[in-house]
Amino acid sequence: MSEPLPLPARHAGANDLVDLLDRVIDRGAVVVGDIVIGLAGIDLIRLDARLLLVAVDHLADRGRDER
Amino acid sequence: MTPDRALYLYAAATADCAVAALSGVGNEPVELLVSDGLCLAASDVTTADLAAVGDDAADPRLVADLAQRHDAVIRAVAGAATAVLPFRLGVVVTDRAAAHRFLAARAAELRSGLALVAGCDEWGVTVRDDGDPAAARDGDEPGQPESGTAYLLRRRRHFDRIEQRRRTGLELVAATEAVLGELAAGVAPGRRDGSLLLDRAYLVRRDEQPRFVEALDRCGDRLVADGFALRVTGPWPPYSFVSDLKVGADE
Repeated sequence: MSEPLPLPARHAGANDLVDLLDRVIDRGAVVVGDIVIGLAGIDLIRLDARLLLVAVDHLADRGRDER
Repeated sequence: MTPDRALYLYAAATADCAVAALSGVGNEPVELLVSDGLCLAASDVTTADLAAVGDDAADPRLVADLAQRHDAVIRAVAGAATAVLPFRLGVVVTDRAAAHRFLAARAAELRSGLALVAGCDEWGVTVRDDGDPAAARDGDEPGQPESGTAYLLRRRRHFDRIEQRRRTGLELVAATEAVLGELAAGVAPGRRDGSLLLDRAYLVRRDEQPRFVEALDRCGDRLVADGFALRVTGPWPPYSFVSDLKVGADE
């Protein structure tokens, strides 16, 4: 079997960026919790996904304008 | 109280991961915290910088930069480990001790999650309707005045053709799904499922990748002939094939 190719590094255009943001903001394993929670001494801090999605929509609009 | 400095987590991976010097969010060096066959890719982060990204008035380019750095680290880890389990953007714990406690508390879930995606990459596939290529060719407008009967016949042909094309689209998409589903190790719906004829993420074993890409080419050619556009993105780390790691406050 041939050696699998490593995942290519990405230099994204606006459209690719929307695909990327869809994945990293909407998917990927969430360590679920509110802004700061205590779990056996673990303090977990998370960005507010709602605000990030607002930013994604701005980027998506810009991507469409540039096309 | 939120501390000034904290630890940003990118992904969990198998402990065989060995990455060369790599910088992550905020250009901080990425380190691997190893414990019991597992590791976490992490880097120090200034919490005020992260808070600025999430701010309502923030420049969206900050989010884009964060996302690209996040993805770049996960890709590097994916290339150097048997399996990677990407975390969502913005998972931050207080310090290394907390990260190690998390690793120990969630070891079983992390292992089973890693086993599911080992040796696989993710591919995004969408199908969009680009409009009937035959419609412009045939023309729906009469060149000259026509009789009532001719008008009604023309209208009927028009609606028959719309219905025929709708069916063709559904059949082609179903055939595409069947072919790709057969070759994939997993399928997940995409976010824009409503506005597209097809929006799926496929988990594909790397040794099946040549056959998968070949199938995409064949399906794409068939679709484009009828005015449907197949769009492919990937390979991605398996973002759509990891489940959340539930952390309850009452534990």
